[in-house]
Amino acid sequence: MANLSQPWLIDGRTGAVTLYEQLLSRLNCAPLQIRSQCQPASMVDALMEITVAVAFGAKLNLFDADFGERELAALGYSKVGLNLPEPVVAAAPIDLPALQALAAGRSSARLGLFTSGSTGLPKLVWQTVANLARAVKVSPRQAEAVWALAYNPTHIAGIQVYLQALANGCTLVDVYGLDRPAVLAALERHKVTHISATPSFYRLLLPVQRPLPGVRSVTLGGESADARLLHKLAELFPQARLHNVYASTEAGTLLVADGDVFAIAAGLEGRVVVRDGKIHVHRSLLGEFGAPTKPSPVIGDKVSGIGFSPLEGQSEPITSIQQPIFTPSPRDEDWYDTGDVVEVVSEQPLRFRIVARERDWVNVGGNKVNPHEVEGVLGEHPGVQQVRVFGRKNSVMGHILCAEIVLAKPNDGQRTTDAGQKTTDDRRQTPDDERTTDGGSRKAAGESDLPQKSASGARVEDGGQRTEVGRLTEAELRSFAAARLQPFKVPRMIRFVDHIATTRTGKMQRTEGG
Amino acid sequence: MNKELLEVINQVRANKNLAKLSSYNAGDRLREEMGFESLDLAELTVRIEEKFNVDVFSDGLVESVGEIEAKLARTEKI
Repeated sequence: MANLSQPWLIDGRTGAVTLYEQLLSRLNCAPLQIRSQCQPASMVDALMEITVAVAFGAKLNLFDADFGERELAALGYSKVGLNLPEPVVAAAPIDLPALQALAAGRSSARLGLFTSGSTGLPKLVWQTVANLARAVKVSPRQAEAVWALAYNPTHIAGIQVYLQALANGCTLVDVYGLDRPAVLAALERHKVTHISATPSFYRLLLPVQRPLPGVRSVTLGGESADARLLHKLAELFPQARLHNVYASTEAGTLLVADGDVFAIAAGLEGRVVVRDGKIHVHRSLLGEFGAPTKPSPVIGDKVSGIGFSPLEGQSEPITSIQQPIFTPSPRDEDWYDTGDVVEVVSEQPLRFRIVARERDWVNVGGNKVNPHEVEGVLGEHPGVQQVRVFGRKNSVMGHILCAEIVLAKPNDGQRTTDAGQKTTDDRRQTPDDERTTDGGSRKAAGESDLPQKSASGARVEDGGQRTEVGRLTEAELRSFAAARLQPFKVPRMIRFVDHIATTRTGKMQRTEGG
Repeated sequence: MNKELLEVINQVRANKNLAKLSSYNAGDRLREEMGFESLDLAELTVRIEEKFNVDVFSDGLVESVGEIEAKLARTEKI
């Protein structure tokens, strides 16, 4: 059992400590301030607000800290309307043991989280804390853990790590967004024992400078992890068990892995199935979509592909959480097709490898990007006639976002003056002597052999802001996108092409090599 | 100093609105001296791969410009 003088949250960068005592006094202050919509200003702010919701069974809609005005407006919100506190009177004071039990899944709180929506905009998904806490384990051994928080606290993975820590009264060390020296220093200084993060996060800790034997548990999720990374992590964390997990934003942990071979998580047999070579999830595991009053989605309303769960696979059912007795329904509309293709390794017990994840999504360092959303934004630029956004494999971030642009012809009503001020500025910043040539660049295997001529027939220079065709530059389009999208959604490679490749059915291709 | 590499570094810097460099030192660290974050490093990798056909980050993260140069030189010899 945790005591109140124990650190609740340590800022990995500054070392600033917030104690459980301080958390509890926030919960027990009168009148209690509750926010129903929160765009957190800091990690402490985010976790405090989540804790208030968990403690009092409230509904809390969380917004990413880096959502800009435009993204909020598109979702129907404004910064002004968020973060408005409402005073409420708590029924009774709450103590730490009660709070821990609530975090373990007894809370009736519901959290509204945004996932990348299939139609372009991020989509609101309401999750019960009971569902989010499904993989939480409570035990005296778990209570000794010191958790690193490497995920965004407004995303499902961050919340799951937090609930795991809170349910056991553990200390959390915030390493979200820190650079490598700061992460490594924080892990050592604060004696972190448990880490859950994306493969991209772990890749940034390499090469191994010196091993960290204090870490006992390392969980990877959100992206596929190759054997080489797992091998390096075994060097970096010689005393740690490595866990590779798999989950969806809707359903929490679904699968557990041994290396790259997956099994359905304990207790979910019958509700997660492999059908037609793809993973299907029963609606009873899905969160609610859109307004909290709306029922589960219709099939085909893909809100999100498989994402990640940050907690190690649960080895036994959590008995403290009441789950309805489940009888699988044969009806198709009760099943959600994740779109994730598997290769079955063994039927009894069922073991499989994940061959392909939902194709359209681009996973940039654990952040799933919906190319439709980015295409929508780039397409708003008056100089753009057609755009294709796709992922390209990358050894740093898993994937990097790329875009191909067909420029609007000048007589197509191009109005660069509307949004093109930056174009002019960017061009001025680029002296002619910096102009690059194609330089005989070689193509990587499998790379697309796309036309390198512009719409006007001018030679397209090799990459960078020097890819200047007509009146539009890569740098300008990037600025345009950066003003409207979260940083990981901004394409890092933009190429100007004559035409966009389509499939035989007329759909744009999402894989590299279009 | 590898001028083509400098060009690629400057491309990534320009996309971050950082000033163009006229030279670099082999010991310059990508994060500290060059001001690159994870997404910038990812972009740098892809642009180097386009130009040199070498994935410099494939066997773990490199820290300095000199390490990239060394990897490029090693590959050229093969």
